[in-house]
Amino acid sequence: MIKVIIIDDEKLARDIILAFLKPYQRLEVVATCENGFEGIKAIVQHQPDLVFLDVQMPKLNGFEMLELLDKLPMVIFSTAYDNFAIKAFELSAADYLLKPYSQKRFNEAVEKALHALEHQITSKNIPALLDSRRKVAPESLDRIVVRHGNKIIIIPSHTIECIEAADDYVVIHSEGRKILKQITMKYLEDSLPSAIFVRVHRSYIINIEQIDKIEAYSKDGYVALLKNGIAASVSRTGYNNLKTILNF
Amino acid sequence: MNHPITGQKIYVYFTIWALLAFAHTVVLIFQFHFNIVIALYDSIVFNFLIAGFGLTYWYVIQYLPSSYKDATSHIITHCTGVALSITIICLIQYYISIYLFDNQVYYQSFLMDTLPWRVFIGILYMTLVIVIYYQLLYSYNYREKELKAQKLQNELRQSELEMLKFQINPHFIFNSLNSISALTMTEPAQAREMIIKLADFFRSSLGTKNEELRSLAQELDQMQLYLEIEKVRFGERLRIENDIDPVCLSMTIPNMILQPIYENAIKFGIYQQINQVHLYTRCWCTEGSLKIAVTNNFEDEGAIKDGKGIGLQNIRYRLELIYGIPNLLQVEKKEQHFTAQINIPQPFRHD
Repeated sequence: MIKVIIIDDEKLARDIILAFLKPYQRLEVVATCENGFEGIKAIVQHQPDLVFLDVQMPKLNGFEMLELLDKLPMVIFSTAYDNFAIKAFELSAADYLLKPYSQKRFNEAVEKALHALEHQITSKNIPALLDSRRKVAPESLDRIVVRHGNKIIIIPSHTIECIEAADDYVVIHSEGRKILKQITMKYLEDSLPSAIFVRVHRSYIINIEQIDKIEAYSKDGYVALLKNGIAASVSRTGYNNLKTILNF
Repeated sequence: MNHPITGQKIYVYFTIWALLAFAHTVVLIFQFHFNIVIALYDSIVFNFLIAGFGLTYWYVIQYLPSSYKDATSHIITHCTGVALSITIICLIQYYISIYLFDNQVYYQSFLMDTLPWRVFIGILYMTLVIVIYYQLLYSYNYREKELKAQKLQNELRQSELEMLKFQINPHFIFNSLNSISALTMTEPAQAREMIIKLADFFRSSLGTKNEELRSLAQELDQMQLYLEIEKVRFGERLRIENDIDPVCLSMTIPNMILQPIYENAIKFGIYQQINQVHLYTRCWCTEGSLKIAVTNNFEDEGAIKDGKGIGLQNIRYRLELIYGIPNLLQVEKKEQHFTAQINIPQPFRHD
């Protein structure tokens, strides 16, 4: 049997997938989930072969949910209308269904997924999809989601004070917390709103609203003292970036 | 621009010339002791020739390039035009006089002696006519320009209002259609009902014949359709409660102004939280003002922005365009409740 999970916040949208799945005897629906949190829990618990995933969901959207998984299942996405998502799908060649869709279109997507499963083609296209999703929507990151054991932390962008590089990880400083996430500085630099966040150093991105003062540190080195007490190194390029954005 | 001296104005024009001719006649009779026939002849021929030339001179002005940049070409044209007109007028008068009064030696010599005067007065009159024409042309152009600017302004306002009015999220349309698609399999009757609701909703929101303003009752009816459709999609997750003072129902409100407020409340309520969303609408009114507040609960402080969403911006802008008063929309975030309140000025009744 092929294990299937359906994740969509609207009941009728889940119903239609269930109805369209009826002819497929080999596919067994092991869970239906109303949101991304339930989705992660169910995926971790059941280790499904195939997931039907809605892109727009409350709090944790489909992409964010996938970012939090260690092992990616085969996914068939669905969306009603999202230019960014559709562009990302097209760039990464991931299969997706545009709501409302026909049984015929649904079958095509399922056949394709089954074919990939039988030939043990793992869904390499999902990391590519997440990458292209970032590319098509620059500076649009209004929150960062992090999984911390069983807990999922959502950090709204404007509460981030600064981000520090730490090998393969970044440390996100937000409201007195330090949160670790595996992601690149380059990605965050490109995705966070550039009107507020400035890359001041190889190892630092800071929120300009959090700057207390900027002091000279060495011959061309500066240091930005933040309201939360962190002293972030500022390189010469970083200093110029700050100069442009703060107009001094 | 058409000839400015037409209809009623022609009488006025010729009356003025008749008065000038009368003065001219009086001078000839009392100052120079001509008999009345000669005096009348002289003044009528001279003044009415100028009047005729003045009347037709409009066409010279009209066919000159309208830009005032090359003033020299205008001046040269008018100098030539006036000189030519006066020469022709004097020649005509001279030849008529020779033909009619060739035995009146005194008049003939008078005619020759006063030639410089005639030329001078002729130039003066023609110049005056030209100046008046320019004045009329200028004020006409100015009015025209103002009218054009006004018209453009109106059109711009109209198109902006049109654009702001219908801003329904495509999400709403496609997700509703998806819900209908699901209902056709399990509950065909409910699917039909939802199709009709969608049709009713779009009938009253699409199309250009819609009035800018309508009654609160009509607006609420349409919003009811919108919310019922959303209710089919979200089921128990959406709870709707209204508190409406029936006295306000006949008051006016801009068409579809509440839709973006509800859309925003649902977006931030439903999409940003997993709990049930409670949508509470309150309408009350005072003399000359209708107030509507829509409140929704939300989960965490961080996710909601301070009414800076495009939907709310559009409402603010639209209300300002219609009523000319800023800040008719106010938002408040308090204890996990978000409230958008609009204030609709009402025309005062004369009864």
